[in-house]
Amino acid sequence: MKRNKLLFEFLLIMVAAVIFTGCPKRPGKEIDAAKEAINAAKAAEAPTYAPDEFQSAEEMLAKAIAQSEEKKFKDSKQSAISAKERADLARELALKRKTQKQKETPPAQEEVRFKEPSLTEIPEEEKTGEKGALGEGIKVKSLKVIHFNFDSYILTQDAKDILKENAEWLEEMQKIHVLIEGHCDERGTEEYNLALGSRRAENIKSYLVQMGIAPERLSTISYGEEFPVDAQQSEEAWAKNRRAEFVIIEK
Amino acid sequence: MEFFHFTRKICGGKLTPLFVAFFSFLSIFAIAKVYIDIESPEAKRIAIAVQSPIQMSEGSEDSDSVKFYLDTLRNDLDLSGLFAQIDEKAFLEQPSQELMQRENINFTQWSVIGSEALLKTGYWVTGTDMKVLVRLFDVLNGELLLGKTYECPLSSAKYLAHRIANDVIKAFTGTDSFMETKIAFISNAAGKKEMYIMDIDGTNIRRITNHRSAVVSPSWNPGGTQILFTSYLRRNPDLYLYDFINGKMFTVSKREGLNISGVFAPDGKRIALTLSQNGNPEIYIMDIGSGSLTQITHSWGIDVSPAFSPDGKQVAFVSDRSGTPQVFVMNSDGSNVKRLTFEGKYNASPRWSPDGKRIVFSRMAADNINFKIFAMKPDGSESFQITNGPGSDENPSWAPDSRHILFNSTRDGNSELYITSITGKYLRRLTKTPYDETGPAWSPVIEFKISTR
Repeated sequence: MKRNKLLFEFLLIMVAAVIFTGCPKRPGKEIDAAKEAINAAKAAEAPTYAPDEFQSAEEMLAKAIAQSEEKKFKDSKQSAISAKERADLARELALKRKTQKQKETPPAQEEVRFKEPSLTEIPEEEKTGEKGALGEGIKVKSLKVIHFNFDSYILTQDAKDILKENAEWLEEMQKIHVLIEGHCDERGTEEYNLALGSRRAENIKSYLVQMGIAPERLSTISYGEEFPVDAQQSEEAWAKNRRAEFVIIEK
Repeated sequence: MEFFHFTRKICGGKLTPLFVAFFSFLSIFAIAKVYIDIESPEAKRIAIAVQSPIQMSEGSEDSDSVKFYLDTLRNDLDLSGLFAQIDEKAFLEQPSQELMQRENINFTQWSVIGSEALLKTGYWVTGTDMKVLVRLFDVLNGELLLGKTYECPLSSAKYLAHRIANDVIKAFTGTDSFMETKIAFISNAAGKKEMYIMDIDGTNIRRITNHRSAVVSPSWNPGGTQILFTSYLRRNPDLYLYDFINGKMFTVSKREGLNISGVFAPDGKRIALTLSQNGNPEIYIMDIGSGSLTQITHSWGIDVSPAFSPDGKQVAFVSDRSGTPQVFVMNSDGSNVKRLTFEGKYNASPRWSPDGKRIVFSRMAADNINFKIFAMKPDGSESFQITNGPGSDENPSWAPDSRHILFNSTRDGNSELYITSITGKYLRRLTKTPYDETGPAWSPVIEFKISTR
């Protein structure tokens, strides 16, 4: 095997010698120029302002280097020239976009501002000072919390009794709009609990509509297990967290 | 292999196909055999000696990058759970350029210290680039298992290490590892639940959202360039898409009610999601290009958490149509619905393995509190428990190798991220914070630009 190896190496060198004379020169100059152009593009913040163009320049340079390593000098030279062109383009674009961006006013941060409901309608003694799960609206004393059994959106008799009282109050307060929040305890998956909370809120809405409340006055939202009232891990805490709450909002 | 490299060195592209074919034939003898059967629970860890890299030429040096490379490589090999690394102090041979050559290595010096494999690396630093020569040997017979040269900018030393770790692992297992992946997850470290990404080794943590409400259920596209997630940014659980290439967020669905559990189809052109626009949570398929919707579930109860099979023809999902949450499967047009889980009161979070052989899910334990991770065949048969111990294990997500699972668990108190092998033999904790990390999503393999020879 060792002798074979030597023989192969000898043959290879012979073949290589023949081929080697045909190889063009390493395009060092072109690669250096491309590297310089990429550095200039980087200085002009091309990675931020012209990321696609900059990336393609970098890729082309990597290709040029790889081709040069593989002794494909002709290809390498072409790649290096192309890399430089792309880097120059990236630099130009970046400079242009940067000045453009500086002229524009920065885009407003997308943020939801909650409109406060018109509190004049609500009697002073009703206000609890508590807000909805995301800090919106207000909660009132007469719209009481409804509780559920584990993994259930069925309204218990207790729940129905409370809902009747809630409906009576809503009958008196014709102008207010209510958001029904569906919540779950922490057990179970987040996604299933989002669906469960949605069913809880929807069931309450249907029941209130049956009681004669106009559906346009009622919205629903599910918060799944995201906003527990009691973060402890106990049967008592979980029972408190499986609930629907009512928040008066501006619609 | 040696010969092949030699020929390529002489004049790369100028070799005739016949010439290449001849030497490729020789290289057949060097094809790595499978040393570790990861599926086997008894698989033993391989004793490996990882030598410090040796500088191959005079010139500029960047010891920081080289050290960073070595630390990352060692950590990756450790993270794989396949190797036991031998303490460098026990080594009887100092690294040198001559000793990069197989014929110069005294393999007895390595076998006496108990190593079965020897990993040697040599490096060159030129300007802003680094080149690394990797030689992996079987100590017992001196066989070369991996001989490759890698090249990349110095700034990519970390990804270079991940690639080399992957190739070393592959030399023993025959398949790609999970070293070149990222993890998306949810954390309340900033107060509210926001989405973050990090590398598989727990480094490079980056916050993606600043919605100051609640973000849940991240899920990757097949190319590893986008993440679907649900956020309460606009006071409703709406579905969004974050694109890493242009760093922008898009709204995918903001219909009234739920817009949740979005997942990409394997073709990357469709998504499955849960909407409650008609009052009841149902699963829909959305064509991303046109935005058109097709409802694929029609039951009185909850239908949620769709998961595509890797061929895109089937969808596993969770439904309470039989009374309690259970895992079902259907064709992706909604036909042929079958229930898969019958044991336990609560089975959820199905995820199909990339090789299509198994569905992983979480099941509520007999205590009616905690969940454990299980897996089954896609027809519901041969289910088995993967995780054990205290606390609740939820939200399983497959590694691209179909052998490891990422999940969140409260086994150590608050919710943290862990990786387990499906045999349960390998277990690694990824995060350690005073906050809650949940809903992890394992990315597909994301190959970083590194040229190899």
